Amino acid sequence: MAPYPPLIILVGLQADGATYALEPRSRQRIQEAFPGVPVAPSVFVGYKTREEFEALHGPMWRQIVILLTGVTLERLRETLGEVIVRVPGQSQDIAVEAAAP
Amino acid sequence: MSRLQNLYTGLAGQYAVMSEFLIRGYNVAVPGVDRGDDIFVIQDTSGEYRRVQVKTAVARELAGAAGYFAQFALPYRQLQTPSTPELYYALQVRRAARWADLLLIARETLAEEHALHGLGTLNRPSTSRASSAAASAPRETLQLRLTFQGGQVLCKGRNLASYRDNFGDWPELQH
Repeated sequence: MAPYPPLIILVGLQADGATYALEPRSRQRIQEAFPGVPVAPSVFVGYKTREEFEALHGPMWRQIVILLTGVTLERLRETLGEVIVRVPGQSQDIAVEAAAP
Repeated sequence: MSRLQNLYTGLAGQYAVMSEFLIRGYNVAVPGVDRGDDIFVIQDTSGEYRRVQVKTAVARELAGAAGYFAQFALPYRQLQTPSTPELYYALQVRRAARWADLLLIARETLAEEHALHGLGTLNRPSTSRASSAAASAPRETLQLRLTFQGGQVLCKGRNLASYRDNFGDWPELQH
């Protein structure tokens, strides 16, 4: 795996769901590595309560990575490094796990 | 300026920005409790709305040169946090007893300018024994010192003049 700083997906938690977007420097690294790939600037995924966030959305993060980057998680890990989810203001980042072999 | 004066100035700036949206045909709403999203700008026919945080500053003249500057402080965590709908900042400047400048810039754009081009100065309040015992940590802010000179709006070498009266996302509506 490439020894780079992790790619960061920032998350804003709202009452009815979470908004995901790439951290600007991460976006720049991805665009330089994979130019011209169409991506969504942000993705909103709903939930009924904020407590559901990690349990409900966690299994969806691999798809959210593709929507935001145009690239699979595995390809990103090989090329640019780990991908983490970060809620600004919270101390702990969460790694986006690759699929089980 | 006293804290009380700041409240009057801030509310005056908020109403000035609201009037700019109203005259363009957009409805505006103010939350009952101020949680930082100063106003909501609403397109009545579609129900579509956007959040606008208004920051107001009184300009100070440059020493020995034509022009002036104004300083704003934005909550850093808010700047980093994506949201739906997206947040916009309205930076309103008061100078010589009139509203002199208004910059409208999306949160995402400002965050990118800071992360990629060093716009602004991050202010990390020093922690003390008293604050570390507090329930909430001291809040980081991004300090923007905007210098208005020769048609440019400069901050750390970046020219933000294109965001002056930037109502591109709010085309005028006829009712």
